[in-house]
Amino acid sequence: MAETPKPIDCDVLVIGSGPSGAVFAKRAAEAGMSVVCLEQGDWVDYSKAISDKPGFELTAPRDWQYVPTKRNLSGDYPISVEDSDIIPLYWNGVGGSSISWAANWMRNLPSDFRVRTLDGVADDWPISYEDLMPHYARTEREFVVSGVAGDPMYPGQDELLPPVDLTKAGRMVAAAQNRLGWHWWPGTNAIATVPRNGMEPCQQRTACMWGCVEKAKASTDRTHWPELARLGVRLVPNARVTRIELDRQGLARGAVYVDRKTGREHLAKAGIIVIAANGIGTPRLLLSSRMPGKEDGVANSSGLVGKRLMLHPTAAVVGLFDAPLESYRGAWGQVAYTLQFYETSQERDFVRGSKWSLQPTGSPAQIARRWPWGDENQLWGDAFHDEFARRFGRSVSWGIICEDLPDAENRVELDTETPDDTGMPGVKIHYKTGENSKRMLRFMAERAKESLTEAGAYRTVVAPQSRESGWHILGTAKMGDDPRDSVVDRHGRSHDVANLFIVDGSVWPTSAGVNPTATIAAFASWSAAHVVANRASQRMAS
Amino acid sequence: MSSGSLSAAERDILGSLADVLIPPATGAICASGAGVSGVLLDQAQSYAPDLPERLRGVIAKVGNLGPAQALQALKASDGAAYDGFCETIAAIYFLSPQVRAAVGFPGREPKPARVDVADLEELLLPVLEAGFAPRTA
Ligand SMILES: Cc1cc2nc3c(=O)[nH]c(=O)nc-3n(C[C@H](O)[C@H](O)[C@H](O)COP(=O)(O)OP(=O)(O)OC[C@H]3O[C@@H](n4cnc5c(N)ncnc54)[C@H](O)[C@@H]3O)c2cc1C
Ligand code: SF4
Repeated sequence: MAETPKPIDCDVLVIGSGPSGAVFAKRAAEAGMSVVCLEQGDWVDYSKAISDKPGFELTAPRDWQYVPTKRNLSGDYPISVEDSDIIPLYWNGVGGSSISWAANWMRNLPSDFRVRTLDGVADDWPISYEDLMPHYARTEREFVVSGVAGDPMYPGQDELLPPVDLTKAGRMVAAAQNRLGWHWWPGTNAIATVPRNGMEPCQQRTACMWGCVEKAKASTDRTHWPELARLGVRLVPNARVTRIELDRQGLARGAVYVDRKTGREHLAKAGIIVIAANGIGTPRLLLSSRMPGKEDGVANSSGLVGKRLMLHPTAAVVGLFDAPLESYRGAWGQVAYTLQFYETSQERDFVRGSKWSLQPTGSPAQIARRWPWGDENQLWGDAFHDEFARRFGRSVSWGIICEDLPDAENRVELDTETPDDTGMPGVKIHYKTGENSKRMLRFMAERAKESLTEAGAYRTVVAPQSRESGWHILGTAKMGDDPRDSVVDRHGRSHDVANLFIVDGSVWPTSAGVNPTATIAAFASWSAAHVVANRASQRMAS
Repeated sequence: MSSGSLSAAERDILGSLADVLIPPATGAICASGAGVSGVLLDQAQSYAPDLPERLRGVIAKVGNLGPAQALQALKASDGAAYDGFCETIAAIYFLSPQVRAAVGFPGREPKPARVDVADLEELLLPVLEAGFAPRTA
């Protein structure tokens, strides 16, 4: 007979165990609050982490697949992407998407918080870079972030572990950027380079992105949850939250979850509920929490839950070089980045901009993948041996992230026709790449070609647009001061439900143009600091 | 050999398909020569027991067509399946130590990633002197 789980009644109930949930849980637990985390997926089986073995590429697409439509992970739910130019990517399990991320660690820039003021588009954030600064610094320690302190674009980022190797290719590109007068900086990565916080140094066995066998790439199942267990935080895996329950006063009294091992439903009671389920999981849960008087779901009086989805359209440009560069090896991650084209310029036909990250092209089997090389660059057949020799160990790639502007038509909706194993609706994604982003992508690809050519590349390849590129899922529960046009306030508190907080990337008013997890984690930390400081006056369900 | 392994006939077809993708050439090792349909396939199957199932779908398509036409037809009708097949063949091919040595891949040897910041100072000087700063207006 299945064991009845211990009833949950805690100060803080966190939904989701990725970076945002883990950081919030840590702050609350350190302040002496009782914390429980419900996570719909399971722990990762690290016996499948074989990035040190020759068969890695045969097993990685099965064991570390980050495209949800190509796998059947136990924590997954149905997602329909037919109406989306980009497929959102994530991991549903303990550690969240930090299990399969590339660990590029980039703070937002100060200007990202003031887009409306500076460029007259979209919205300003109700918080500033300065508000988040202490939280960036703290999370950088927790996520074992390595890099070189002192990038003039980032005030106050001054405590990092030693950087990962810039690599031969990185040095050539860096020198080229210098000749062009363009900004660049050695890569900041949530990848340990010295033993720290239970993590071990990266051994760059190739350019292995997933299943880090060395325990070097930060993922919260390693950087946070073991310590949280010591602090007394209870993490319940395989627990899918299906709805938030409100009392008559409209306060959250708990979350209903299904133990996916037994199929039984339970109510977890809590003083405060914190949703950290990412830009898709969060609107899914809020919209699913329909009840009489809340037909559009919980915390949705603005009607904005699920709207304004931003997915960071991306491009990549590869440069091929005559010289051997050992580019089969390097932290992945980024060995360097540039913010040269980050800000709006009057001379361009688009607003906002991009961050580029320089990456090695990887192992022999990685070189043989279709992306980023594309159809025009035939590998297979008579050309194989020559073309392979040109690419392997002699190529490097700029990966380009575009800031996309919020658009209410880009959205997450419930799909009641495809329920998951607990009966909760699946989701439908509607996303069209905007004109501004398309222009930006074209411009950036041309500039990246210039950079690589200046570095000595005799050929450059612009990667075909890939749909499997929705790494960053933002905007679907906007933060703002005005309850009429935002879902949560500047601390992530729902305008409608005073003891409900959202701390993942859903709250972003605009998407910035950098990888988002540094700011997602810093925001969770900022939100938790507010909750801790104000707990005496916090309203709770009776 | 496990019951899920490819038969000798299936292996022959697999070898011919793989040689279309990675053909013989002077000074280079072709797919079947490396053992993609033989010893490497067995090794690959120990990592991915479902491999024969994945490959059988494509092998079955050859029928009366030659391997080259079969692959062309697959590419035209189901690009994702074609890409998947090519990438799987490559992953098997590069299991071979001879192939790895021939292309100059030292394998997945550890090489600590850490570098000293002092090593980068000269390269970073122009960035520090260029006057980059966060935008304020
Ligand atoms: C392939 C890939 C590469 C990436 N690379 C980078 C990078 O280089 N740099 C960067 O900054 N970012 C990167 N990202 C993005 C990064 O992973 C996310 O920004 C980050 O993980 C977000 O943290 P989060 O905690 O908000 O959400 P997540 O990490 O997605 O965690 C959400 C968790 O909530 C759980 N959950 C959802 N709904 C429920 C429910 N109803 N009940 C219970 N649990 C639920 C999910 O199972 C999941 O574990 C990448 C992502 C991917 C997929
Ligand atoms: S490159 Fe480094 S961090 Fe990435 S998986 Fe390999 S050892 Fe781990």
